[in-house]
Amino acid sequence: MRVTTAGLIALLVAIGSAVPASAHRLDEYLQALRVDLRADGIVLELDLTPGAHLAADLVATLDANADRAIDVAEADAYVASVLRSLELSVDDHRVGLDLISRTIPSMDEVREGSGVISLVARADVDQPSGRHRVRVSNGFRPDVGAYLANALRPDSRAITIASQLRDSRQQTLTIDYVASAPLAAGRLGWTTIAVLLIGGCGWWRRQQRS
Amino acid sequence: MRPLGDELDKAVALLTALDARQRQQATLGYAVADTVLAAGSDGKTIEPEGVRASTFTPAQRQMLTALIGEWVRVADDAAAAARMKEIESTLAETYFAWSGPPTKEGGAYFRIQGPAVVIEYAPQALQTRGPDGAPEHIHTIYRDPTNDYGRKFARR
Repeated sequence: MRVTTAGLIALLVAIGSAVPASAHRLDEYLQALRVDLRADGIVLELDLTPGAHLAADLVATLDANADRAIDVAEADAYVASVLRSLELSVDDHRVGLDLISRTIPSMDEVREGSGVISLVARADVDQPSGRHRVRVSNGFRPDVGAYLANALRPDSRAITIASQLRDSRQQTLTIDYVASAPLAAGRLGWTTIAVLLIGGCGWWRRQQRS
Repeated sequence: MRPLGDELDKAVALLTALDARQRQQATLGYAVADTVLAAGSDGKTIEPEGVRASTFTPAQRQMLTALIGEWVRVADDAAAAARMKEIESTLAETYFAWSGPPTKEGGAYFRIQGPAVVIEYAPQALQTRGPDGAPEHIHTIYRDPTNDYGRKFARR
């Protein structure tokens, strides 16, 4: 077994990644955006990790009534403000986002700089066959933001990403992609074939018996 | 001591060994502040970017394999050999991406992404530097995307 110092550090860092890798970030607000292009819409996943030096400011904003707890209304208000900072457009048309889920860390995690605020939002978008362009812009806390923006590899074979273009800070991500035949139609086609095959087998068996 | 020094040396050597077209494909035109696929992103696969190893010469492939080996060979020899075999079997589908100056001192980020391996090297800005100017505070990940958190072993 070969264990170099560097290798050991790599291993330790990998093991330590059970704690968010951004735990050392102090005066920046890491904002990691993932864009999931689906056959029936677009899902945005955003993980926000405020550095420990931003904790006091963030706690004051989150805990608006200063009762030392983040209640549902406060969490909703904060996440809503984040959501308002996201702009999504498809083929140059602005598209609205609906919040699907959100996770708010504890006050202690926020103070330690290890708390991650996560939100998932979705836009119902028709994906007619052809080339399309999605543009996502994250304008949340640009004063301290450190941004990451990436397209997830589509699960659907009906979507193929052609290119990704970002600004130098990754606040804006533009994805060119191609949608082929809608997935629903594809499923319908296979279902039809399956029904015909089963029906055909039944008819053939009956013919054999008679 | 140079944290992840051998890893950085080999990555810079690989980048330098690329021809102009390959290097252009490898270079990301934006800054990467941190790892993209760290904890909490299990099961996620980002659309790969960078230069695909299918365009590499045999010598370049060897350099990429040696670079990946810096992370893989932390394991014992038998386990590392088995992992390297898996990774090499899909090496042609593996991408190498670089963001930042093409030097050891530049604080550049790089990523290796393939069906059987994801590696990220993300030096943190404004942190301390070693005597040679190389970054000393680095976030790195090494993942087997087919076996996040040992799922393969758990199924047995």
